Amino acid sequence: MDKMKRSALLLLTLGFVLLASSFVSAVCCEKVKSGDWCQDVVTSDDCVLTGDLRWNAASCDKTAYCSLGTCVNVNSGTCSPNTEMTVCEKEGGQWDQREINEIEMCKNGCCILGEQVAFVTKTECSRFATKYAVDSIFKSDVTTEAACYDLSQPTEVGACVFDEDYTKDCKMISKESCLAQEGQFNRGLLCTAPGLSDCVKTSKTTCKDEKVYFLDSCGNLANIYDSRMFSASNLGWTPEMNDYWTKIQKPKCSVKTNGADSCGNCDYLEGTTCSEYKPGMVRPDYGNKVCKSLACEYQGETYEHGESWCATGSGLNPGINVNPKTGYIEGSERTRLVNNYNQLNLPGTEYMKLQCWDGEVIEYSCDPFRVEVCKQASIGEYDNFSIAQCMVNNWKSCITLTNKESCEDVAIDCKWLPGERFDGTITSDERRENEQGSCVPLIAPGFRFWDSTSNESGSEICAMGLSTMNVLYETHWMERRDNFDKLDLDASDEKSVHQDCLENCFAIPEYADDLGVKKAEALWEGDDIPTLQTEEVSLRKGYYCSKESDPTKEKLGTVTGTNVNCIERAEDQEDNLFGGLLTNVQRRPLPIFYTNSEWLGFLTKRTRSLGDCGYKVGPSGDYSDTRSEILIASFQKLTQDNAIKEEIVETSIIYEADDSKVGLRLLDENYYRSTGEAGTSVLYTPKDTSNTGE
Amino acid sequence: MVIHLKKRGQVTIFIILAILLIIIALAIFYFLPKLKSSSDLGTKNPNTYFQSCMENELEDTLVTIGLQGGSLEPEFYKEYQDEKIEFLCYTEDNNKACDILRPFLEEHITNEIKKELEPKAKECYNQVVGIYDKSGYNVIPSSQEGELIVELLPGKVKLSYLKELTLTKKDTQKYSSFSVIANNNLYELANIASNIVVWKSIIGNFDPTSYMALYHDLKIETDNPKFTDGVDIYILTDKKYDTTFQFAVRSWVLDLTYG
Repeated sequence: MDKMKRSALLLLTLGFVLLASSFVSAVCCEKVKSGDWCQDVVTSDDCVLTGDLRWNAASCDKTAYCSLGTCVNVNSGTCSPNTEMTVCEKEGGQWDQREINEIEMCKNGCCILGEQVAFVTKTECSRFATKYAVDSIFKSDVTTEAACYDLSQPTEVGACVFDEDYTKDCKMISKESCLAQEGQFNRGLLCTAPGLSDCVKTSKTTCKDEKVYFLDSCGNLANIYDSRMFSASNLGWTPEMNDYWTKIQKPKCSVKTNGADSCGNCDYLEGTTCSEYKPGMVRPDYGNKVCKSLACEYQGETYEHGESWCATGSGLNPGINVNPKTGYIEGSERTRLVNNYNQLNLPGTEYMKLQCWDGEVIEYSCDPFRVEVCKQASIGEYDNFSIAQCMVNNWKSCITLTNKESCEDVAIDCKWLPGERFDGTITSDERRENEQGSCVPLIAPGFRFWDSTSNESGSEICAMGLSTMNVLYETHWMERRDNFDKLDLDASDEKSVHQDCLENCFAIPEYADDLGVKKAEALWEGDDIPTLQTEEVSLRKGYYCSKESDPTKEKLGTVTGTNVNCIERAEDQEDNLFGGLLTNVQRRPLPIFYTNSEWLGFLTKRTRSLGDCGYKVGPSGDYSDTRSEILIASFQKLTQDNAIKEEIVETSIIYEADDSKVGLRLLDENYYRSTGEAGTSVLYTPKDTSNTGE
Repeated sequence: MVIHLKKRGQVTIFIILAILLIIIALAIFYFLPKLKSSSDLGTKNPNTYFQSCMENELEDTLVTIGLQGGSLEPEFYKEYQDEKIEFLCYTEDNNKACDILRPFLEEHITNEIKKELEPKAKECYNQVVGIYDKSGYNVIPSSQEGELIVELLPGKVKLSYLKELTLTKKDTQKYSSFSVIANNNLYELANIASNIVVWKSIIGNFDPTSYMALYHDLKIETDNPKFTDGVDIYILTDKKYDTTFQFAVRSWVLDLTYG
C-alpha cells in the first residue's frame, strides 16, 4: 500500500549560458569600403559608390555583376576560375559563366620549349614561343604539372672536336651547335675518349643539375663523379675506369650505398644536393664538390630532407599518432586521447607541423581552435621516416551519432561516454550498452569562449553538456521531511534522507560513493549490503517494478537474495478492478549511474570533451572560473501524484569546479541548512561560505 | 757589402721623399676626378647611365611588390609584420571557397611596375640627355613620348624604355631604347602564387611540399602562428634569386559553430 508522500523534488543542473546572434544582410555592394568586392552588407552606406561602382538591393548571389565564372585573358591565354564578373572586367578579362574546364582555350597542357617545359594553355604556349624565339610543342594530353615536368629533356650532347693545326680542342655540346661551329660531333662520347682530343681526365669536379660531375682538362663535364672511376696513379686504371671516361654513361654509384665521399650522384628527393665542400661535411675523395645532406638537426634529433613531424612545446599539443596505412587513430593512441581529456587540447592550445626541407626546419601552424590537428606516422622499411600532416578535426559529426558502435568507428575521431544521452532519454536495458551515452569529440575543439557576442563562443555546444536530473524522494507522512540538508548519513535516527530516495539518487551529493559502483549495482540487483544503515544509499532497493496500469509509477518488488520479483497479487493493486494475478508487471529500467561520483565524472568528462567548455587550464597555467562547472539544486514539494504542491523554495549552487583541478568539489555540507519546521516549506539558506572546506 | 749612410744624409733623403709624396698626392687629388669623368664617358654608353639611374628604384619597387602581394598600394589587405599584404583570393563566408581577386597576377604586377617606374624612366632618360649634352655631345632626344615596357621573365625583370636618342660627337650613335635588368624571380613566384590561389579557390587546400619538390629553390611558408580569423598568409621565397612574394588568402574557413 502506497502511503508514502512524495514531498520534494530535487533538481540538479549543470548549467551554461547560451547566447546566439544572427545577422541578416540586405544589400550587395560591388565594392565595399574595406576594399573587397561583391559583399552582402546591411546598408548601401558600406558600399564604395565612386565612379561606375554599383550596389543592388539583393544578395550578391542574385546580382549579375557579382556572378562567379571564369575570367579569360584572350591576349595571354591565362584563365582564372571562380572570379566575379566585375573583378574580371576590371582586370581586363573576358568573363565566361562556364567552369574553367568547360572552356577549350583554358585547358592546360604541356608546352615544350626546347629544354624547358611549362604547364600552360595553348595560347600561353604560343606566346612563350614568340617571346623566347623558340619552337614550341603543345601536348594537350598531359594533364598534370608533374607529368609535364617529367617531359623536360636536356638536349643530347656529345664530344665536338675542333681539329686545328696541332691541337684538338673539344667541347661537350649538342650536335646542332657542333655542326654550326664546324666541329666533328661524336655522339655518346666524352672529350676524354682516347685519341679523340687533347682533353684529359682530371680529379676536378663541378656541380651541375644538383649532381657532382667530373671535369676534364678542357673544362668539359665528364660523367658523374665516382671516385672508384679515377686513379691518381697511371698504374691504377682499369678498363672499366677508362670506359667511364670514354662514353657518356649513367651513374654507377649511389650516395646511399657508396657514400658522399665517393659518389656524386646526388638526389634531391632522397635528401642530397651538390655543394661546395665545407668543413663538417663528408670530405670527397677527389675535388671540392660533394653531395651535401639536406637533413636537419632539431632538438637533438636528425630528420631527413622531406621528413615532417608534429611539434611539441608550450601551448602545443603533441602530435597524434596514426596508423600509416589507414590514417586512423588506433589502440593505445586512442586510449591516450580518451583518458587525457584533462591534459590535452586545452583552451589556447594548437597543433603545429614541422618539416625538414633543404636542411631547414619549416614551421606550419595547423588551423587555430584545433580546427586542424597534427597527425603523424612513421613509414619506411624501418619505420624511421616520419610524416605529419595538419588534418581537419571533424568533431561536429561526433555529436550527431547516437550509438556506441558508430561513435567508436576508427575512421572518425569521436569517443563514446556511457551515461546520459544528449536528448535526455533513457533507453531500455537491452539497448543500454550501445545507446545509453553521448558521442563526443576525441579531440576537443576550441572556441572564442571569451567573446560572448561571437557565434563561435561555443556556448551552443557547451550547453549540450548541460544536464537536468530530477531526484525523487518519498517520505512517510509521519517522517520529518526537512532533513534534505543532511548530505552525509546521520545514522543516529537510523533513517537517512538518502534512504528515502526513489529515483536518480546518484544526483545526491556523495551518494553511494563510499559503497562504490559495484556494490551499489549489486544492491539494485537485489543484494543486501550488510552495513546498509551506515551507507549513503537508498533503502528503496525494492522499487524495481512498474505498475501495469502506469509504468511511471513504482511498485515494490519482492526481493529474495538477488532475485527481484515484480509479480504481485492483483488484490494488492489499487487500480486493478478485476483482481487476479498480474503477470505483466515490468521491472523498471536500471539507473544510468549508481554513484554520485560516477555521474559527476560523466558530466565533467562530457562537458570538457565537447570543446573549450567547463573547468580547464589554459596554456598560461590559469584556470577558467571555478563556476564554469556548477551544480544547482532546486527544491520542490510534490503531492503524491507528482503535482507541485509548493513552488521552488530555494535555488543554490551545491557544486562548483574544484580548485585542486581534478574535478568537482562538494561545498560545505552546512551550506544548505534547514530553517523550516517539519511539514512546512523547506527553506535553505547559505551559511557563510568564506571558509568552506573541501 | 754593407753601406753605412751618415745620419744627416739619411734625414735629407726622407725629407725629399716626403715632399715628392705630397706633390703626387696633390696631383692625384686635383686631376683624378677629371680623369675619371672623361674615362667614364669613354666607357659608359647611355644604357649604362640609364641602368644605374633606374636600378635602385627598380629593386625597391620589386621588393615592395613582392612583400605586398603584387600591389604597391594594396586596397584590400591583411596587415602582417608591418606589411599590408593584399588578398588574392577571399571569401567573407565560412565553409566556402574563396573568389579570385587577381585573375591575371603577372599582368597586374607588370602594370604596377610600369605605373610606378615610368616617371622615373622619363627622368633617367632626361638625365642621360643632360650628361651627354654637358660632355660636348650633340644630343637629339626624340620628341615622341617614351613608353616603358615591363617584362617579367624567368629569373629577371626587364624594363625597356622606348625612346630614341641620337648622340653625335666624332660619329653618330643612335639608341632606340634603354634597358634595365634586375635579377629577380618575381615571374616564377607570381605564377606559383596564381597556382596556389586556384587551388585555394577550387579545393580550399594546398600542399606546399609538392611544389617545393618540383621547384627546388622554392620555399613556401605560411603565417606562424596563424591568424584566428581564417586568413592565411603565404610566403614564397626563391632561394636562388633571394626573391620573396607574399600574399593573403581566406578560403574554406571551418567555423566553430554547431548546427
